[in-house]
Amino acid sequence: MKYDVIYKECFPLMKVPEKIDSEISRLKLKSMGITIDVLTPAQKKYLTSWQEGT
Amino acid sequence: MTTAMAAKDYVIADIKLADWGRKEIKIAETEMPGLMAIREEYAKSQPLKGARITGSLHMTIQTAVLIETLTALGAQVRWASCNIFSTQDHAAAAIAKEGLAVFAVKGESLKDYWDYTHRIFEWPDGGYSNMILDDGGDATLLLHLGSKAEKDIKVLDKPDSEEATVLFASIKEKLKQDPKWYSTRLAQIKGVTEETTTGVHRLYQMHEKGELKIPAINVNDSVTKSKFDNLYGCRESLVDGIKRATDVMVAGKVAVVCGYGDVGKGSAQALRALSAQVWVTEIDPICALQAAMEGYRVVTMDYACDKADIFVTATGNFHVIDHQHIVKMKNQAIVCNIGHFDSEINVASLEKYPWEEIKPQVDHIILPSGNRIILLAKGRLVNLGCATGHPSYVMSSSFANQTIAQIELWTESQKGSNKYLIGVHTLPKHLDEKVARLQLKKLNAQLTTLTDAQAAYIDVPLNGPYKTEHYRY
Repeated sequence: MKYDVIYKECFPLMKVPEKIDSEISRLKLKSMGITIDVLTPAQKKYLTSWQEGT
Repeated sequence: MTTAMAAKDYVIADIKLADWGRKEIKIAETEMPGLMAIREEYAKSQPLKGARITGSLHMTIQTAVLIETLTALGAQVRWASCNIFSTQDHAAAAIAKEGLAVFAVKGESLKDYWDYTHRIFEWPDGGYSNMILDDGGDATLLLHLGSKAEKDIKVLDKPDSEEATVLFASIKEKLKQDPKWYSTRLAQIKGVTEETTTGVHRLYQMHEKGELKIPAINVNDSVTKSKFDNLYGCRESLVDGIKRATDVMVAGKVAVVCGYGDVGKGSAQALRALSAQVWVTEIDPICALQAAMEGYRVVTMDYACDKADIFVTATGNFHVIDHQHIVKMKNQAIVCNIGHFDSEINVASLEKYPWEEIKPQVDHIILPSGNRIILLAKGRLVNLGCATGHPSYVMSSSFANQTIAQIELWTESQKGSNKYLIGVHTLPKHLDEKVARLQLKKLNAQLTTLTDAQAAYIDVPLNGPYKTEHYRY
C-alpha cells in the first residue's frame, strides 16, 4: 500500500473548524488595529429567513 | 385559444425594438461560447422536450440567448424579469417576436412585477409549469408562500416592506380567484435551478425549516458561476453602472465597498483599477482579513459614512447602509447597491425627504443637513438598473451551468430516478470543468495536459475532476 493511502486510513483528514478560522482572523485584525462591523439582531434574523427580501 | 389571443401572450415595452434586439443577440452569441456549445451538443437529442419552464431572470440580451438555448433543446418557456429595472426592452421585444411568452418592461411597477411572476405560471392551454429557473428565488417563493397562505392566510398579515405589501396583496387577490392556485402549481414542479447567492441562501433556509417542497440545484456555487459571474462580471458592470449614471471621476475618490465576498472582491478591484482609494466594511473576520491583505483599508460603516464619496453594497444582508449613516453623508455622495435585493440600503427611510429625479434610475435625495446624495437605481442592482448587467462572455458560463442543471433535473425526473430528492444540490465537478473548457476555446488559451505519470503522481484522473470537493479555487 502506498504511504499516503496508509496515512489517510490511519489519520482521517479533518478540517480546522470554521470557528477557529474566524477566531484567528479576528485576532490578526485586532493586532492590526482594525475594527469591523457587527451584525445587528435584525440582520441576523434576516439572514435566517426566506420570506423577507422580496 | 384563438390566434389573436395567443399573439398577445406577452407584455413588453415596444415590439418595434425587436430587430435591434435580434442584432445584439447575434453578437452576444459569438461571445457566449460555453452556452452555444451546449446548445449545439444537445440540439439533436432534445433533452428538455416536455419541460415547461417558468423563468424569472433579468430579461437581458444574454438571457435571450439562454432562453433560445432552452427552446432549442426542446423546452417551452414563459419568462419574466426578476427585477423591475433590469429588463433590456429590445431583448424582450426580440424574444416576444419569436412568439415566446415574455413579461418584462424596464421600469415596471411592483404590482406589475408580481402580476408577471404569476403569469409565467399560467399557460394558455390551461397546463402547468413543471420546472422553474429562478434568480433570487422569487418564483420559488411565490409558489411556496402562496401554498402556505392557502392553509393559513395569516402568514400574509404583516408585510414589513413596500415589496411585501404588494406581494401579499397579489397573493390574496389570486387566492380569491382560485384558493388552490399555488399548491396546484407547486405540486407539478419537478425542480428549480437557482442562479444567485441570495436565492440559494433562501433555498437552504427553506430546506432547513423543512418547507422546501421541490428538488433544487444550486447553480450559483458552481465554480464557473460564482467565481466568474459574481467576481469578474461585477468587476466590469459595477463601474459601467456608476459611470453611465453619473459620469463621475472615480480616481482619487474614497469608495467604500460593503461586503467582501465574490461580488465585493470584484467591485473593490474595479474601483481600485480606476484609482479610487478603496475601503471595505465586513462583519466576517476572514473576509475582512482578505481585504486587508489586498491592501484595502477595512473600516466600519459608522466610521466611513461621513468621509467617503462612493458607497457600494454587496452583502446579501439588509440595512447595511442605514438611515443613521445616510444622514451624515457628504454632499453628492454616490450610493448604490450591487447585491440582489434593494434592502441593503435603507431606502424606505429616505422617503420622507425630498427627491429630485436627475434621470430614470438616478435620484438626488435632499437630506436634513442640506446635503444631497445621489442614489442609483433606487437601491436596486446598479449594474442592471443603470447599465446592462454583466458582459455576455461571463454570462455564458453562468447560463451554461443553468442549462446543464435544467437538463439534469428534468431528465432525471423523467427517468423517475431519485438522484435529486427534495433538497439543495450542486452540479458535479466534471460539469464545472466542462464549462470552463468550453469557455477557454474562445480565448485561444492553451491548456496543458497531464502526462499519465503526472496524473498518477498527484492521484487524479487524466481527464479530471482535478480537485477535491472542498478545494476553494
